[in-house]
Amino acid sequence: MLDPVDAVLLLVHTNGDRIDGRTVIQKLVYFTQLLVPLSRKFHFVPHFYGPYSSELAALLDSLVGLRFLRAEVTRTPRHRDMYSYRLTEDGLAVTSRLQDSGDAKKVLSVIEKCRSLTALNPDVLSYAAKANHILSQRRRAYTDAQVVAEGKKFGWHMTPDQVKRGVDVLLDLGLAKRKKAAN
Amino acid sequence: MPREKRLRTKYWKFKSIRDPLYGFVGFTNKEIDLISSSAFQRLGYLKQLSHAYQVYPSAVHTRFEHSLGTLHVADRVALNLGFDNTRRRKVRIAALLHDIGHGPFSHLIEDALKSEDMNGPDFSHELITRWVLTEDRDIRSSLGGLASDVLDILPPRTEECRDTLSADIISSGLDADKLDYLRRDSYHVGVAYGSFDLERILHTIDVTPDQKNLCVQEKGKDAIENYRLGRYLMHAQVYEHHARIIADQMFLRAIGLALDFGILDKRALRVGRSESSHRKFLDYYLTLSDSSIYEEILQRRGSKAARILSNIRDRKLLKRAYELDLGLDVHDALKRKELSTLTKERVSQLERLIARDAGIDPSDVIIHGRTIEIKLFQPYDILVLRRNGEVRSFDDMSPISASATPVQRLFVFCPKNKKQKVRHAARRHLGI
Repeated sequence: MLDPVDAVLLLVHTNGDRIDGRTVIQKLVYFTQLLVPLSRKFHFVPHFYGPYSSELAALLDSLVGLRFLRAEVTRTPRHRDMYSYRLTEDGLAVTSRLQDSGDAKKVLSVIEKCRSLTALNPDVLSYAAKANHILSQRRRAYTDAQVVAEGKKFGWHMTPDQVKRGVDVLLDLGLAKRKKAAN
Repeated sequence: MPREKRLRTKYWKFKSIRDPLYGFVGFTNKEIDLISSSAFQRLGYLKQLSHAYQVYPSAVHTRFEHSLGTLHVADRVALNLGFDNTRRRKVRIAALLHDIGHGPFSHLIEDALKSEDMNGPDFSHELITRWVLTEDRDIRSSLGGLASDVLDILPPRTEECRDTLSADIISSGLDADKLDYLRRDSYHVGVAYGSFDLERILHTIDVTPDQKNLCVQEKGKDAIENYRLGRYLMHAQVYEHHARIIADQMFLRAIGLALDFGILDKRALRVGRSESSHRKFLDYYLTLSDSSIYEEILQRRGSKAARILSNIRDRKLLKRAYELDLGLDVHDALKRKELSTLTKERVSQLERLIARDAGIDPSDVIIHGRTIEIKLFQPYDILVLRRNGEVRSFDDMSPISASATPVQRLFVFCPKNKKQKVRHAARRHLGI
């Protein structure tokens, strides 16, 4: 099983040693831990941009302090801080010993799927994570409209189209199944 | 005064208690019943800042007065948000009882009881608070039908929470708990760091457009800046003071030994899943206080646990023999990764090795890793309602960067006269 530090560093490494955006990294770790066994899971709770883990946020800051990651912050024209995480040489040294492991291949597969399905767009990743959070709560079949309605309980205002885009990502990741419509 | 107004005033101020921060604070009849219960009175014997009195001698205020103050602040927030009497009553009581699950030296005993061989990592004082509300006879009878509404807004918050706005008043980035304790701790410690403009915050506190969360109007953001800097400075100057950390770690070591050697009843502090097990646990836990736990251990003269507590009491604190800033001092990346992710078992093993080489008892060597966060709050922790009706995270709006790189330190503590030997042994075994 991967330890959480290795998982986060591998994720950045397999994405070309760089991930842009805190929402993006939060959601990528969210999906990774659903698909790759970690020795300790992050606790995610519903937040404005979907499931969010304060433990993960703290770990990212620690990894910057430990010089495994470098964080660059730019303020966008809409006054939002945009965080860009880059793997440092020291981070690379940690991930290089794991590079050929089965776990690394699994992480690579998660990131490749997310990249091809969402182009790592934070909004689309966020719709997918929100939809997954809702679907995994009740473990029963939901229509897209029901996901929209259920999302409002968490303060998530998604359109049916946004839910569909999110669910499509989940289907490709193997985290959801489409039920055949009755004739 | 008209009769109706007089009766209303009498209801909310059935009794008043003098508070150094707020003057007279009024309480209802039901609240006075709750305050009079032995589970609540016990809070008067639990210091708010554990061993901070070793550094700041006047830091001996307790969870009791903090709980009364939290009720007062929560009530002011509820009134400013226009809550009706039913909701106001619920918020006041939740604020009053929010800390009732704390044990001796608060977070320290919680940490000891969270260990894998005790109750596991999900154990928390918030859980105990919920058990007190449902199992303690006096509390339950005073609460009557209000219990489930109060539990609904107390942490840990579940997704079934029916009133998230009230829950935010009790626990959030801008809750009544912090709004009280920062100023109260500052007052009792004798520093000015935790002071901030409470009145401005209360004046500008608001509700998000979906009515689900607490936020602050844009015009209040400077008061929030003041509050979050106060929070940061209190951490830097008071809560994370190294002498307090050493005393706390020595206490934790003593508790661990007391549990291992049967001085404290391990079985009584283990909790099963059943309600009867919660009751049994509370029967013992609610008898404990800061002084009783010291007395219980100190009575076992000759034990290692008693020796450690006696040293804390006499302020013969362990000293820093070795200290590493992992980010700065450890140049090898893999070593840095290893030292930043030490397991509890590995720490114990290293302590034994260092103690052996230094010729001292292993209970006198403490390796302690600490992340000192410069972070002022988590992203999305405080929400701002902009003039155009948009809700934004405060750190998007602040001219001051919301977080900075935390410092990760690894300390090795030992008796003063063994510092040199321990330093050498630590270097050898930590591989630095």
